Amino acid sequence: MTVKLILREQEYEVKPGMTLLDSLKKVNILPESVIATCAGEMILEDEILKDGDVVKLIAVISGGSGIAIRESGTCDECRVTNFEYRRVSHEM
Amino acid sequence: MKCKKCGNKASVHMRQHKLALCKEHYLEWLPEQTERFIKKYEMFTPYEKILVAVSGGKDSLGLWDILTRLGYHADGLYLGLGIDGGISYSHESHRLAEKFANDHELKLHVVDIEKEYGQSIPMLAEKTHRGYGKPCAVCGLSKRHEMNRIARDLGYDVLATGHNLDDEAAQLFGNTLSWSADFLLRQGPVLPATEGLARKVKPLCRFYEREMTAYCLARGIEYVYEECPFAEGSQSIYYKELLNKLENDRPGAKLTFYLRFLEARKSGNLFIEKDIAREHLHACSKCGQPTSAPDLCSFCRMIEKVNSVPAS
Repeated sequence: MTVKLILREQEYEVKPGMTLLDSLKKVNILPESVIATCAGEMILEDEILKDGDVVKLIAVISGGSGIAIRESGTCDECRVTNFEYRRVSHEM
Repeated sequence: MKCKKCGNKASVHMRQHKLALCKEHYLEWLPEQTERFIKKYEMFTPYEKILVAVSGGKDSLGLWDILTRLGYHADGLYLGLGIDGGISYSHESHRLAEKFANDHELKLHVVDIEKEYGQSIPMLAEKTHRGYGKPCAVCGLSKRHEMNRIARDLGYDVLATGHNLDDEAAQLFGNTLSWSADFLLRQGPVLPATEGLARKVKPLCRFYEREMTAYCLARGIEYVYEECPFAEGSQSIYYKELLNKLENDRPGAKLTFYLRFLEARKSGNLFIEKDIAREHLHACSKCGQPTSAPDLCSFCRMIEKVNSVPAS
């Protein structure tokens, strides 16, 4: 008698009768970081999960690239403004 | 939870707005809001040609979908980066970008970095030794360079990227931690065109990342779900996770962080001392040291004065 939560390849089991929000807290998943779907429909944090429910959690965070650049003249070859590379990576 | 507009079961809850909507009303609300922000920040007009940077991810495909639904002339640009990472990352993202373009009968420009420059992004990173073992720095640099080049070469008025509020808040957070004043002063929904650089706009800059995920799910947009294999452990993702913890406890914290920053920047109150220094100091015409006096600095004036007095 369980509810299954699936996030990427990871599976979690919680008891039926809990809300989605309580279930996520129980398995230490930050609600802000996922969208939950059940039977192909998006569900919200107040949804009471029933026995046999399979909740697919879709991670929402993406990113990873980006560096800091400074303009430093125009490239002779491509005519585009040239950039000076810096190590820090906070400009996108 | 009920939809605020029709009372049916809600599918999306935006705690920062205290707003829950059903799927149908959410799919109306998000483009309406996008249109509002396009106008508010004067990003572009319906008469301009837009180039959307499309990665195959949820944000860029979502943006392309919204702009075309709103009736804008928006073509796509996909950059082939040559990243495999054991999951055929670039291949899959290219396939999904092409699929979206074909399904919606849209024009997609494809530029393959390796074909264009003889090296893929991971190869460039390895040979240049930039990025400390990760190609993210080279990737970001190459993408910006190529997006700008194509936008200008093909005569687009504006380049649109799918940066969402979480991207912007993470960028702002990083730049604030290091007090990178020059970057802070340039961050915003619109980067105006300058000599050699196309105008860049971020129409999704006020939507949370989870809102864009919800939009793509509700619209049935197939996007590349797997993260770039090189993104794991990146600083921007770490900052996003930190900000989400804050958001979890204080709904609206991310939005407020970003909007208050934009207000402060617009008011001119950010780093005002630097401007004062620039405004009042210039180089002394004799010694070159900074001075607020109109020509010579006080020291040089003093020396000149001393030397001009005839010896008694």
